[in-house]
Amino acid sequence: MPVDLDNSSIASGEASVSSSGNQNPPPKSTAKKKRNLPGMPDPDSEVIALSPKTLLATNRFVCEICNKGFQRDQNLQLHRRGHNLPWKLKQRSSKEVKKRVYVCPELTCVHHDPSRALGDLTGIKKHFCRKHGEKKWNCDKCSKKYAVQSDWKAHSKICGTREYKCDCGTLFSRRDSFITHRAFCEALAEESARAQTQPQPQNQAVANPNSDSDPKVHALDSSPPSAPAVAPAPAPVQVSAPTPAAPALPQSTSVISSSVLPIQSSELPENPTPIVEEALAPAPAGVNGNCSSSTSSVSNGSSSSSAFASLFASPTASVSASLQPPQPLAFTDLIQAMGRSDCPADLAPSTSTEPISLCLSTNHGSSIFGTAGQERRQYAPPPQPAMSATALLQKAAQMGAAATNASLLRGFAGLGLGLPCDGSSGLRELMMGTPVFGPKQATLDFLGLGMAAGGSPNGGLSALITSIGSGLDVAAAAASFGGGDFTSKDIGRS
Amino acid sequence: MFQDESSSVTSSPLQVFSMMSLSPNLGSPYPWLRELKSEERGLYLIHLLLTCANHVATGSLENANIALEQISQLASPDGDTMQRMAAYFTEALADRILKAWPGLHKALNSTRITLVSEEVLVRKLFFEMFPFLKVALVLTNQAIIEAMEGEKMVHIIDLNAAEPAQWIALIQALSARPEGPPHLRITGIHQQKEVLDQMAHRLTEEAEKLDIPFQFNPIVSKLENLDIEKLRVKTGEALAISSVLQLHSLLASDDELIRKKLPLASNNLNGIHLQRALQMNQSTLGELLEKDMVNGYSPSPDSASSSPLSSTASLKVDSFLNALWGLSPKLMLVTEQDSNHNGSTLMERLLESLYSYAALFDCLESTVSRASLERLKVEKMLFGEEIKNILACEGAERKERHEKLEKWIQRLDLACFGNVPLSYYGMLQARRLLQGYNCDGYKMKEGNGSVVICWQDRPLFSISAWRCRK
Repeated sequence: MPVDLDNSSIASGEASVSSSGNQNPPPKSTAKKKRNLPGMPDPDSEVIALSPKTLLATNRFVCEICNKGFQRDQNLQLHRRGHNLPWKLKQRSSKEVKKRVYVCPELTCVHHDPSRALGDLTGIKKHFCRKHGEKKWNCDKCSKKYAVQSDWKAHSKICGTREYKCDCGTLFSRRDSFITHRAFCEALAEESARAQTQPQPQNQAVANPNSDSDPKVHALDSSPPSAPAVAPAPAPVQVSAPTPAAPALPQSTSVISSSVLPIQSSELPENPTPIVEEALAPAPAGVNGNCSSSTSSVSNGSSSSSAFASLFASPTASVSASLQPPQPLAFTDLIQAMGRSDCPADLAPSTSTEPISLCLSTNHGSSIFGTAGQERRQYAPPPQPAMSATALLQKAAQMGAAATNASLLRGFAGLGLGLPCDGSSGLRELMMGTPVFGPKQATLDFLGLGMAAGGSPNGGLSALITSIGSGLDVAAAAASFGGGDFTSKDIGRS
Repeated sequence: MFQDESSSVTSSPLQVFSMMSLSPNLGSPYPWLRELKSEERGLYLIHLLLTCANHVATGSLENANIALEQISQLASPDGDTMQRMAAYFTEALADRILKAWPGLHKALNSTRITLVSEEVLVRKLFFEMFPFLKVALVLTNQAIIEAMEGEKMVHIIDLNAAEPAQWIALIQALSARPEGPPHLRITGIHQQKEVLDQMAHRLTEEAEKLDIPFQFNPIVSKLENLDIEKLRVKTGEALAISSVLQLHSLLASDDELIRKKLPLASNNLNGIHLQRALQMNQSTLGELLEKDMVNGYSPSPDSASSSPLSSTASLKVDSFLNALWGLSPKLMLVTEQDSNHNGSTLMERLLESLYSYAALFDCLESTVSRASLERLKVEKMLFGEEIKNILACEGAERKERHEKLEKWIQRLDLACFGNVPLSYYGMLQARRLLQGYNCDGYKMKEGNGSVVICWQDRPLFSISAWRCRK
């Protein structure tokens, strides 16, 4: 293949080619070809720079009889047999084929640099079309456009064959995107909140009817996920949003998950992390292993719970790391591994830190929102490592904004929509809209002025402040309130 | 839990906290506090911090004291991120309260020993444990190398010459230049002579090893008192200026100017009046700057003479930038924090710094063990001190006036600097460096002709390059 392109590119005079000689494209070797990581080529491989024209050319080999075009010379030769024309198949030369890598001709592209060349000709062709080409292929069922025909075909196969539907009405053809969406969907929150008062189904960790779902899920995610698929799952999750928590309560967990608003920006991790993304799939198996029991314990009956079961089981979401008490040990080990952190090759700890922080958060999420009794029955929590401070602040901001509405439910529903990546500005608008309730105190006045003049930097936390103001008032009213009543039930200790 | 208000027993934890936090009837040690799980504790700490700051801001010290007491039960410099943050934030708030009694404050702080060696160590730790300075180093050096292509005489001015690593790397890169190394002069500015001596030693050693004509000029001076003449910039040499986390301290003197011009008699740092006044003036000045931007390029602050505050508004930082512009540098590299910690009210600054330092503390939590003494030192001696400065100090004392990148861009533009996009190759190196940190949380974003390093979407540091615009 490269051979022919070399010839044609020389003919066109546009490409600079560093190879010479007539070599056949390497036939399929029996041994599995060693694959370099994408964008990090073998240092002693040959770099080939082709012109855009060459890359986009198709069907250069034309049959003289019927004018049928072929992409490869060999295909043309085989076709010529059918016309009873003389044909000759070129053999691969006996000397070892040098590994070739290709650079993208587009100057502004990352892969234009030889050190980031791609190892596959087809790959670079597709890359060039996808990133720097116009999208000529349009899906007829939906409005999506593609530059590469194979992408378009792959899409058309699944377009319309949606399998997953969220309660809010959105449809998904992919399980992982569906799961991620459900983590943030507020429609779920309302439904679960309503269902909250129902008695909990028994959620003891049983032998796993769903354990078989795990290998499948693993398989799903281990197969090289396209970057967009993998990245969104960890991306929102990296905010350390308290995603659905522990085995106990599907309903409450879904509430929590919905309370995690899509604060995460839409910006996916930059492309130089394909390594990380691929590593996410095989991410700590031990962690996932822990999930299976809790997975089963969650998935009882209702479809919403099973969705969460799969959510827990999905390694890409790295929520799967979320569940078990044995976590803390793994966590400290990983933290120490991170501390040592001279091992660039070992990516697992880094990717695990995300799951871990989620894990911890989810455990606590449930403890805050769930009934304490359930918690106690589920497991005796050892001292849990903590949620990240950023996540705590975001949670507090949500709670604060919610509190000003004097109803957490309404608050969450209100917050469900379109939070921008930076929690502050969006919450500010929300907060400005909500009335400051409670009697005006000096504190509230000050805050009112301060925020109007300076512009509240973090609306949610400001709202929390106003709720503090109102809380103070309540404190005065409830001065003789005994502390004991609250402690056991509400704080959710175990 | 998400039930109607009717069931008061299972009301939200937040309301519980509100009710409980300031009711002194709970009795002094709060045993239930110790049993809180870490997330709840974290949320409660945030709540308490906000409450406390609120009280400090309004001057209700009794209530502030109660809140501090409660926080002290939960906060700890050895605990989880939120506990650590709470420890330093409350220290800052307490410091702020104490400043209302200047005698008391001075008495408590007069015997403090600050070891230069410890400071140097903490700076080194910050350099090593976080990628920020390293990324800045890579981008800066690459920009310098590219700008100085073909130059025979290169002069670098480092506004805070504390870390030799950067210039060592530059020396090595310059010696590998195809056209051979230039004659290199580095002028380092710092307040402590020992640091400059150490730097001179390291750099001359390196240059001699690589056989590069090299000269190091130390200048022991505070940045705000810098005498431009001392820099001895010569004609014919190509000048590059590097400012790493230095410019924001120059914003500190402005409050003084404003206060002098306005009849305020308050020395009370907790006073609402001062804050309101400052707030008013800051916004006017801000508007001033923005107005000038809107009206097109105003090459110098003098054109702002149309507005009332102009007579005072020879802002320290603007005059400093003008002085630098006067040196005709070929390139100026500015690395700054990208957070707004310069709000005029305490609450504004508290809220913003909560988010920023949460991100920084999270970085440490994700990469260093809790038992690490180094981590403790960085948290206490670097972040803790910054937080204390941001929250407890006002006026000329408050040096940590971090501002958002957009404001810096405006200022630099106002001072006739034009943005230079950062080198693609430099970006590549910087990204690789970030990847090498093996931590998903760090992200690099480009935009506005600058690079911003974020932790989980929270922008923390920005790096940009500038040239003189005539």
